Amino acid sequence: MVRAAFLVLLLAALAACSPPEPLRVGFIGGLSGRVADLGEAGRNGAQIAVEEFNRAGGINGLPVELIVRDDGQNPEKAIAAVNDLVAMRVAAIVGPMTSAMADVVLPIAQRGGVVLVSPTVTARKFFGLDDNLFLVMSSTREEAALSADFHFRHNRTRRVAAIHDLRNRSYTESWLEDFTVAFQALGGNVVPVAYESSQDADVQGIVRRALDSRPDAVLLITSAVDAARFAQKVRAQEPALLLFANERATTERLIELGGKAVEGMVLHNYFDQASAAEGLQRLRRAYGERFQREPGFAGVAAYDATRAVLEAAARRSGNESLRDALQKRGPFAGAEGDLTFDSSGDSRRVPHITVVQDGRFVVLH
Amino acid sequence: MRLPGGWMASGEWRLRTSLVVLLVVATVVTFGVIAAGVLAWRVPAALAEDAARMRSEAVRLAHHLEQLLSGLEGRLGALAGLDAELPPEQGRRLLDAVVAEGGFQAVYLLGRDGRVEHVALPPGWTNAQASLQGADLSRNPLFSAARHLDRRIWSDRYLSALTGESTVGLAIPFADHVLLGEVAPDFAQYAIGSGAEGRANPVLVVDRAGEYVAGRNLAESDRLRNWAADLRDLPATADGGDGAVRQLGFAGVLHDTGIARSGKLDWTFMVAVPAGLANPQVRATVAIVFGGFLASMLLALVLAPLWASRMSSPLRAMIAETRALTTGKFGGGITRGPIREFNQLATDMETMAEAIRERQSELRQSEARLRQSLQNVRQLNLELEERVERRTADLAHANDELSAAMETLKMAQTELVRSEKLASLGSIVGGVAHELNTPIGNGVMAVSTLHDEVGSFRGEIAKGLRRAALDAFVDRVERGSEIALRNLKRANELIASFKQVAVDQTSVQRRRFRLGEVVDEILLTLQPTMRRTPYKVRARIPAGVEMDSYPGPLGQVLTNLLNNALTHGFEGRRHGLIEIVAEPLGDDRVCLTVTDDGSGIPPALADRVFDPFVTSKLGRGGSGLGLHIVWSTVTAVLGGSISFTSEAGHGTTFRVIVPLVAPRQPAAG
Repeated sequence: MVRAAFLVLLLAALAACSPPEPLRVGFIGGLSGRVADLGEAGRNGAQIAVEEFNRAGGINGLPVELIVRDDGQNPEKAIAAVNDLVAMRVAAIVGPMTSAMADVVLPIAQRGGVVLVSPTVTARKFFGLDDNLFLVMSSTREEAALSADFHFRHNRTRRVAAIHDLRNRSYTESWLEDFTVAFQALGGNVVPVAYESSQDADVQGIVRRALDSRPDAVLLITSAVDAARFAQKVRAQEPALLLFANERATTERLIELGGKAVEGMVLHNYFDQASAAEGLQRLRRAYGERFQREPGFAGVAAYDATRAVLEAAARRSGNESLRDALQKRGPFAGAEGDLTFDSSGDSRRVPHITVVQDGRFVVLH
Repeated sequence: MRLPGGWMASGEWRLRTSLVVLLVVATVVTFGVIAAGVLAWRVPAALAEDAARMRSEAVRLAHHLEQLLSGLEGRLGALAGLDAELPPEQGRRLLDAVVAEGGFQAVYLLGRDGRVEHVALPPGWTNAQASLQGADLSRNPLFSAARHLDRRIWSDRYLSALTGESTVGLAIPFADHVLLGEVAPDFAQYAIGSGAEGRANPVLVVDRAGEYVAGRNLAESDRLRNWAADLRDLPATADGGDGAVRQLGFAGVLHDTGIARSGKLDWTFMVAVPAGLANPQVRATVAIVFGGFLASMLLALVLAPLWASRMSSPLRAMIAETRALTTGKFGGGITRGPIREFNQLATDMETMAEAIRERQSELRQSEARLRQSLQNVRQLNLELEERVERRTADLAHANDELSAAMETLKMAQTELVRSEKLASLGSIVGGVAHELNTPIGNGVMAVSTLHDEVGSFRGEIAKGLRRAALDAFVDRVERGSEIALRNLKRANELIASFKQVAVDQTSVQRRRFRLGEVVDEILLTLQPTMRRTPYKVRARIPAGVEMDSYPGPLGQVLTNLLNNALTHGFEGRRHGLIEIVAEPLGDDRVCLTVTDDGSGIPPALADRVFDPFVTSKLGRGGSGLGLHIVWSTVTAVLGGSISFTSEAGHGTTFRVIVPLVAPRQPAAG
């Protein structure tokens, strides 16, 4: 008996003195299903960030491990994925990529004491809360307000037809509401046009509905693919009508599928593609080599989120929690600029107003 | 034999046990060797086979894909060729027909500016048709590349204008147009599905960036991860050719993976089979081998006892029958069995049994004879005993008579001794009386004469006293009293001597003393006498001889012996030596020897020398009592014994043996 107890003590002592375990960071996003490109871009951005960090020596000389889980935009799968990650005792989770999944995943992460750093969740309801969710992008309200302000003042738009997708309604309706409130407060008028996104959607009909209301501009609160289609159809009828969309549309797909129809479209972008920031160019190069694509906002935001997590983990002292470190030990270097989280874990990074020029996203200054 | 753990294995095993063990061990070892050989040969072979199979599978899949793509390309190419010549309406109908054939989910006819002049879609896409018609696809990278390079291009990153999803696209430029074909998104899955059916092997297709395109029997983690690192530095054979084999991890298990690349889309096909022990074939082989091993062992364990029994049963029968022999049951033969050596043994056993039987009968006969002689001996024995009894009875009778005679003799001896004693005493008394008679008689005579003289003097006085008569009277009185005195003195001396003889034993003093001291005392008292003589006395007494005895008598003894030597032994000699030696005898006695080199004791006196009044100087001063007193003292007082040896002319040795502790004398009553 005594010998057994002694052995146990010895093992415990050895365990206590054992070298620290390598840091584990989880990623959760939709890698299959409808918005797989968002999830993929997020995962790729996180991967680049982790690999860069490991090349620079990792934490305590040990490489960081990225553990990827797919939520498939499905609540059940998301719950299983986050439980899995919590069980593996990851230091933090980069993700989820959509607000719908954040609804499902946050309570579990909160209970498990794991920090979530979401690159692309922007729904208003997640902001201003003292919880385990850290947000890299600004909320829909801020973006919508910015948009409303820009178009009202800059482009003298007074009447906007807002085509919004009902399939992602919690997000699109939130955006629409925020925009409507802001635009109406300024004195404008918003005509909502709802539709259900599908591959065989009646794009013509929807566009006709929108144009029937004689708007000064058409707002597209849709995916990039749908936005490209709508743009094509609008342009076919109204070649000069102002088109603008929210951040979600700001991907290469829009340009690929929109062709010339999307020239001049006003968007929001998380980063300035033309920026000379060394980190951004390095990221675009690494991403392009690795994945033969542009990172897009999801990739860059995920990169920034992951870097913030890793930096915070490296900078924290003693028994400081990662959550405290993220809140206190910023700013964290992102691809283009720095990232700082306030006491609610919000970074409030305001996106750039961007316009499509010659098939590229160019920031308007 | 000592085994570890302190077990003692006895050197003996039952035959059956050792046969069983032999058979089992032989089986096990044989199978073990064979199994090892089979495994060593078969396992690597199986693994190599599987790896080769995987490689050819992968190559086949890649080839299959290429064929499909070539097919599609062919169709679209043909279309492109035809379209150039046909009127637009027919061209469009052909486009629709191509899509209707399947394979393409959409085909676009794009003008030089990238606008969609016509799009052929599968049935049911009415709205899409309307929305895509006239759409601007000028920014589509595939279109741009085809237009720019003016050749057919495949892309696996083609973003479908119809679905918005990434799929495979083919662009064929011709004349002023570009035909853009969108392959159905599940095309890749279809390609590997139709190619690799039935098996449970993981199949994986990844694009040039190492991202999952399609696959089967894969774990989710394998679908989600990037494979570029695993596919780095593939040999050239991977591109078309024979493919390559590498060990990659699928679902955490190492697999032998056949790898082949398709050139058109730069996709990598992987077909994998578990490597090492996880490989099902290997497992099966190992299982079979082990199964066989176990089966053979079980079979051996079952058969071996049976066979061993069969082998050892004739031996057992033989043992039983031999045992019967040992108990004397002859006549039964020994059963034969299938083993020659045992049969030989049986024959020899039977021969031996015969020999034993003969010997036994011989033994029985001699036993009978022996019994007979034993009987005789017993008879003789009885007779002898009778004789002995009789002789014994006679002897006992004779013994009784002898005892009686002995008793009589003893009594006679005692009588004799007594009468001797009486005689001796009588002779002593006679001697004493005789001896005393003379001096006392003389004394009486002298005094009587004196008495007469006195009477006559008185008479003289009456007549008138003359001086001459007075002088004569005084002279006569003087003479007479001298004679009387001398004789009375002599009588006194004699009486003193006699007193010595009748030693009053109870008044003699007993004490502890050292022999040496007593001897020295005696020698001291003799010294004055010795000084006047030319003779020498030497004593050798060991120091530690302690006695609890009567020193006075002992001294007397010694004195008398010394005196004897001086007066008798050395008479007429000019020199002489007396040696006194004491020698302890055992723990309780001492031997005192007085040796002189005098004239010795005459043989005529030797027998009587200790008797009273025996002297060689009778009438010349010796009383003849000296040695008698010595003898009496030694035997009666000191409790010892005395003997002597003498050689006439050479000397005499008296040997006195006395106990160290003298016997207690009963008080004289």
